[in-house]
Amino acid sequence: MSEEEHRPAGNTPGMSFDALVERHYQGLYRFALSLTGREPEAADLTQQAFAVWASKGHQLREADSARAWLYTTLRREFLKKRRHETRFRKVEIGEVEAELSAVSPDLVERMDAAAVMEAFQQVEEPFRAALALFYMEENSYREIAGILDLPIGTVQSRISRGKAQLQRILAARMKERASRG
Amino acid sequence: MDSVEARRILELYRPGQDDADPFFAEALAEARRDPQLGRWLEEQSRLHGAIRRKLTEVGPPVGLKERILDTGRLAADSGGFWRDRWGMSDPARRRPSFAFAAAAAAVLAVVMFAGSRLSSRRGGDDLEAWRGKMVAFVSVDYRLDLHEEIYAGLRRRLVEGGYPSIAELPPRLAALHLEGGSLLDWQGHKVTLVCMEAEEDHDAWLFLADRAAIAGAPVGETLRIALSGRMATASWSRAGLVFLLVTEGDEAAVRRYLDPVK
Repeated sequence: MSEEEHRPAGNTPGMSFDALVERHYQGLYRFALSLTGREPEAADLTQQAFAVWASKGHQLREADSARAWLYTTLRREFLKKRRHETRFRKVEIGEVEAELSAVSPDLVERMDAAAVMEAFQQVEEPFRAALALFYMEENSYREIAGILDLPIGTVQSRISRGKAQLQRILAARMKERASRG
Repeated sequence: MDSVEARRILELYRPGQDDADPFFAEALAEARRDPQLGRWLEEQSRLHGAIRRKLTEVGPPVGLKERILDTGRLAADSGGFWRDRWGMSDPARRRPSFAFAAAAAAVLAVVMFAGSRLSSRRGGDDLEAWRGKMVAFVSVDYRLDLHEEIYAGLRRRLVEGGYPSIAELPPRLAALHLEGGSLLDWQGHKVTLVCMEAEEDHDAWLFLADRAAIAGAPVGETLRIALSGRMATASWSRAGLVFLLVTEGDEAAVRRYLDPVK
């Protein structure tokens, strides 16, 4: 058995730490960035998620669950940090019907990636985490629900409303750009 | 299903990713039947792809992967505590990759909370090394082995397991909300962790070990205060045990939980 194929506790197929980092660190970083909006904090959170994995991730029975576990851990670490910094602003979910604004895909294609990410940061937090996982397309709805510890229906509702917010923000930016000429 | 309902469902649809999800099957069929809905879905799918591409264009900062891996490599020789904690008999020989990963936890925690320093000695059986590892343990996510809100109940379980315990918690710690405890090993010696919820969502952690297990432990109740990154620690000895109190904050933060005599 090669090092890449070592078996963690429980004799289930696993992967090396290097391979795990290689496979997931970019996605985890993007998720962290979508949560924090700040690069250094996102990098620290990504590193912290792997540190926690190193301490207990081997307990996973299925190697395939490592990805969802890392995302769950990263979000938990984020919430833990936030708990010490500030209380979450309460967002009333379900009051406003989600309406998608008309945003042209071509205009989004012409936008700078950083500008799109900046717009993404303006989506309210409870929606943002679900929306980030939605766009990253690395997790099924069931996995997203597990990561966020929410029922699937709530996840879908948050994604719907998050999308509506994001499209409103993007539409406003495009309008602003157009008015500047 | 009408087109309004189909549209609500398809707002959640990710082309490719969700094709096999039965939740979307009927709505997708409706989009194939209804040309207007079909056009809307096509536009939404293009928009989804455009946003997704932009979001995934943002990459990690240069060197992040190396930072994670290098820190792990530096840690490869110092996994004793974690090895003991998770009951691995000889990971360095039998599970080299995991040994590497497990060892990373201690060092990563130390690096991230800047200031805690592992002993350079492999044995690491002195107060400083013990303190560093205990601080690292509570700095990363951990699980309580014993959930007890009443200290008498926790103590009974500690005694049953042969773990260090005291008859009663010091008064100021006893006044905090008890969350439970963990059973740890340090160089083959049993160590008890008692976790309490302190003020402002911060926790206070009290470690207990046999004094004989920690070379250089304080003599008697002479207090030793040390700062370790964002953590403040106080250690002392009494009745054959060495105590280590850890909390977030500065010296004043940890002194807040010590009795005035200390």
